[in-house]
Amino acid sequence: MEEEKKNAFKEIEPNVTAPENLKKEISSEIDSIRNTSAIIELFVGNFFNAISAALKKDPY
Amino acid sequence: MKKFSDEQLVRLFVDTQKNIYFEHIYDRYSDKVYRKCLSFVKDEAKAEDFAHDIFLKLVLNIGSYKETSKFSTWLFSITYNYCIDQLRIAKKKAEVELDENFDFVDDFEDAQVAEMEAKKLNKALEHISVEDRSILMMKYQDDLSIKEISASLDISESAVKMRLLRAKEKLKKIYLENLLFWAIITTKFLSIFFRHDHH
Repeated sequence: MEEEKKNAFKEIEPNVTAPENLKKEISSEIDSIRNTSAIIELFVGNFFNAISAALKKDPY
Repeated sequence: MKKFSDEQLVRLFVDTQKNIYFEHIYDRYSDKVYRKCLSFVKDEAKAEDFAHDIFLKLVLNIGSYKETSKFSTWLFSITYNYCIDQLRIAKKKAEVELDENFDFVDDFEDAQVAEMEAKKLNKALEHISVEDRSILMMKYQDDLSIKEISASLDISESAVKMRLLRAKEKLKKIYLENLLFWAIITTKFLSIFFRHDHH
């Protein structure tokens, strides 16, 4: 079997793991981004609906 | 879930918007991304912030991921580009475009990488620009091809070859200077030691 070539670049990669709290933090931030965009969508949608309804309204 | 490929998990996450799919992608790559950030900033808190921002960037841009490249390559390109942007070390140098037939002879990988000592290499890497460091790490740590690096950094393949060549030259110079420095110190020390021994 061929011996694996030595590569100092592979050796210098830090042997650590990502902090455990990070996953939770990112997940909850994704949730809040999703919720914020849903609220904005809802608001913008209703805002335009209200404007178009007001424009359609017969003044007489 | 283990049987799903990265690309399948991405598709499921985009279609369903369920965090569980993202969490699986995260589990596969969080350590790798965190390590990459740590090797750039050498500070655990900063590396955590960087990794946090990179994964958020990933989520926000996941819709733009086209399966033309491997998901891991795409994620590493976000990681490297983010680190480079944040560190803002090197000034952009004018790239000398080489013609397409430029012959990239990669003798570095086989001979010189094998000769390098990890500790000294790490020290030498600290003295070159973040752009040079990242392109060398992409090639020799992550085993990305010239084509993949070119896609990641959004530069032509000949520019990648040129940058690699320059980065290696700089690294070799610093590495050899370090070696020379320690050789001189050792010789000096030995000569003083033996002189004392004679008296």
